[in-house]
Amino acid sequence: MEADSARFSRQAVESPDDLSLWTKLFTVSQIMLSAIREDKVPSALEEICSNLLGCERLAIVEISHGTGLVQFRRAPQVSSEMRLALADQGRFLESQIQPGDIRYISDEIDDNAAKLSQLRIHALVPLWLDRESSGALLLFELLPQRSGFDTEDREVLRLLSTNAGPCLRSKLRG
Amino acid sequence: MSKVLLVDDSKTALLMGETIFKQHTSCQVFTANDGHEAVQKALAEKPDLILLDVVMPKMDGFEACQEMRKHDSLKNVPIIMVTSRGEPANVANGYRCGCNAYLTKPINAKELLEIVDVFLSADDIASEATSIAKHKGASAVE
Repeated sequence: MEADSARFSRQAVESPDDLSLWTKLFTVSQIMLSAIREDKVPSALEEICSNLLGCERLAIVEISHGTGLVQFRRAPQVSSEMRLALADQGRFLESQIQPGDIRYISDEIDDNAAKLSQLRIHALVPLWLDRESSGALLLFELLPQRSGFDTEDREVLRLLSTNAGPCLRSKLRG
Repeated sequence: MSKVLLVDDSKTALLMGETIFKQHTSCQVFTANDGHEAVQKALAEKPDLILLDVVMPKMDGFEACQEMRKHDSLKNVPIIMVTSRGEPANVANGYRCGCNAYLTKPINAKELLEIVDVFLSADDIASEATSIAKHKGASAVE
């Protein structure tokens, strides 16, 4: 992740337009590193989504391969009804996790997007661990002042998609 | 060198703010994690600008703003309220409590520097940041 910070730092000096993006990516990297040390990765993800993306309702889920069993690692403000609905759709959610592909419902109009939308999911961010999915970050409704995920948000989510999985597992692996 | 006090109970928000100020201004940055600590630090450090989150433990941003305005040394310090709740009633409440400007989360570095540029001397803002701010302009109540 430190290497990522350095890469983004080099990009940042090239254009003033990267100012905000660089700052966000740097902040995410530092917060995640700190969260690993303090063993508070799930709450750090919640803070990042709330403060940097304007999304205060999210779920970090593990989805078992093959069975589609959904386990909630953290799901603040997600009602029991919503949890049940998500758990019922475990196999479907698993099928929506594709390598290198974050699903943004606003970008798509197919049946799968409609189904994700019915589950009130705005974005499905796969969490990767050793090239295998370890689950997903599900982002639900955004703050009223946000109309969707912009380019900066998507870069932040891309960073989380590749780094949050290993961060979540870091304690288990010592 | 101007002093800036950043107040937020979120580590993420504080780090984001600190990074922006340290990278793009010459300001000295102080932080506080709740309204009560904010009032104490503001009285001790006499900042030139305060960025104050609204929803915080112990004492929220509205109360902290009102409390700060009771002190002569903080009566004229610009206070920018920062919140995830940008509804008109909340904004109006912020101004009633004595804030000078209002920003909604998620904070965008350019927007923040634009509004900071309104309140701090140009010497404190890096030339690049100043040009960005002047390019876009900022709305604030002085």
